[in-house]
Amino acid sequence: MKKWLVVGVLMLAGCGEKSYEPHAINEETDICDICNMSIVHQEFAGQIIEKNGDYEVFDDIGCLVEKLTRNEQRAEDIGAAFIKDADTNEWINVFEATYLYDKEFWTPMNYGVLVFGDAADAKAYQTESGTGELFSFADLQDFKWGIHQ
Amino acid sequence: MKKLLFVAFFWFALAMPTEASTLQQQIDDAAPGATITVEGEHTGNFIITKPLTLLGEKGAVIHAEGSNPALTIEQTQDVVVRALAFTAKQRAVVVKDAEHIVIKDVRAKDMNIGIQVHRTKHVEIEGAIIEGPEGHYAKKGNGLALFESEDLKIHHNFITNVQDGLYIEEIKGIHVYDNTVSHSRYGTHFMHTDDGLIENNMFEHNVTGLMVMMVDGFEARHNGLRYHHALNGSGMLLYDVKNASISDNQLLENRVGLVMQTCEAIEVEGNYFEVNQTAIEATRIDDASIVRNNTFTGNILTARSDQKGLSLRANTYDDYEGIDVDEDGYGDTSYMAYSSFGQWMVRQPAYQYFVASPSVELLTKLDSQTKVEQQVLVDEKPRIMTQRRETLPRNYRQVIVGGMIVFLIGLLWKRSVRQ
Repeated sequence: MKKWLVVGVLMLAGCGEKSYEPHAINEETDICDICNMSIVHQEFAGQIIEKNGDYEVFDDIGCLVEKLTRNEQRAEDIGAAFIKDADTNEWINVFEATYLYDKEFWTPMNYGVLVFGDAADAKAYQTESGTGELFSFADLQDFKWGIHQ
Repeated sequence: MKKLLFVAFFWFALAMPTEASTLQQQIDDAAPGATITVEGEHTGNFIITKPLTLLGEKGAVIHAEGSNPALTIEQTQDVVVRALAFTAKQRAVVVKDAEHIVIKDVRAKDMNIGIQVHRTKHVEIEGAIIEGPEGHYAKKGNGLALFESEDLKIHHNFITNVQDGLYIEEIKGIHVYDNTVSHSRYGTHFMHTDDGLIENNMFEHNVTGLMVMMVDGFEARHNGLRYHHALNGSGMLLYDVKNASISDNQLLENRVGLVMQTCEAIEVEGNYFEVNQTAIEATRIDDASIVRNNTFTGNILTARSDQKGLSLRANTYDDYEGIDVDEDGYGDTSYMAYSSFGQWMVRQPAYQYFVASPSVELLTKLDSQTKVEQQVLVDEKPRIMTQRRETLPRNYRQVIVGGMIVFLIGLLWKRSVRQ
């Protein structure tokens, strides 16, 4: 009986939600799927992992959002989307992150949007730099990407 | 006596300025508009905040101390820096919040960034020689990094082994000419810089020769873009560019000669596309963009695009097999640049490794044999190729030496016949 119980638990675990891990960026070969720039500033890099395991990398959060917009993809349509945390340089979930924008923040595409896994870190950065506007991922849908004068 | 000598030596040592304080002291003491001649080697982080000319004698070198720039020019105008060499861990020269700055004939080696300019008007950088350190471009800075400035002339510079030879961001009015950039990520990288003009430059052996992104108004003419063979390499790449003219450039031996993505109103005219794997790749291009009067020679694939295609008109193609019965200079049948395999490569770049394989050749031949009219990549009026352009430079030295050898052989032969 015990044996069957273990098998059942394992089978249920197998049917659980698939997990997607971020891929390491290769500076030699990886280029942004939207703008073609090579990823030399890894601290701003992002990636989308499709449900079939394919993945695309991006040099800036603006390009990643552009890809989702072009393909009309929402969180549930893809495996996962990761972006580097501006504070810790770790991969974090794009959809749960906090965004801080200011035209003076430099990013590879000069969109001026930094990403934080922890809202408290974003607020601390905002306080320290004395500038910036906080957003959630949902707010980014109406954000006007491009040069901000 | 000994005591007196010791005191005298102590005061003498104290009064002797260090090298760094000497040059900075000279700068600080100089009247506005003065010229300071720099001799020998100096170590420090020198700052100019007044109109001044810094003129290097032969062998004059400024070494940056620590991670700060060797020379900073800030909040001033009318500064000339000429004939100086710099070494630095990070930045050799930084210019910020200034006007009318000339930097001429300077050298920087093994630094991270050669010359960096911020918020400055009327800048001329001429004749700089900038060589980055060995290593991957991802770990380096740019040769010239130019930000948020106005009216820049960048010319006759030689830059190698850096991330981007010229990184140009948010500049109003820039003329880039007669520069050479090699062995870097991008030869020149335009970002958010409208109405730039770039001409007579040579970009070779970079990942991409000329990268132009998010620009409205741009002109590139008479540039050489060659030997960009990397996996993602191209001679010139335009992304999100509007109202641009690309004319009379030579794009030679690149993975892709010209890449255009998400562009509007681009005129590609009078260029030579020679021996590229793919001459032109276009995706998301508007109907106002056109490729005309260009010459395509020795490319494996002439053009590839998405379903929207690209307007081709009156270009010359070396693989055009039509004839010109009415002798108007144009072929009597259309040229089809369309290739099934080329279209697949747009979607799967890794397919490039099968280019020129027997199966791909067969597929391309089948494409040309099938009379299915394609809606994309068709040139209705291709020019007939009349003569090939001479691309090899004449080596007059070899011609003279060769002529002399022939003459000598002739002379010897004549003598031997007489005997």
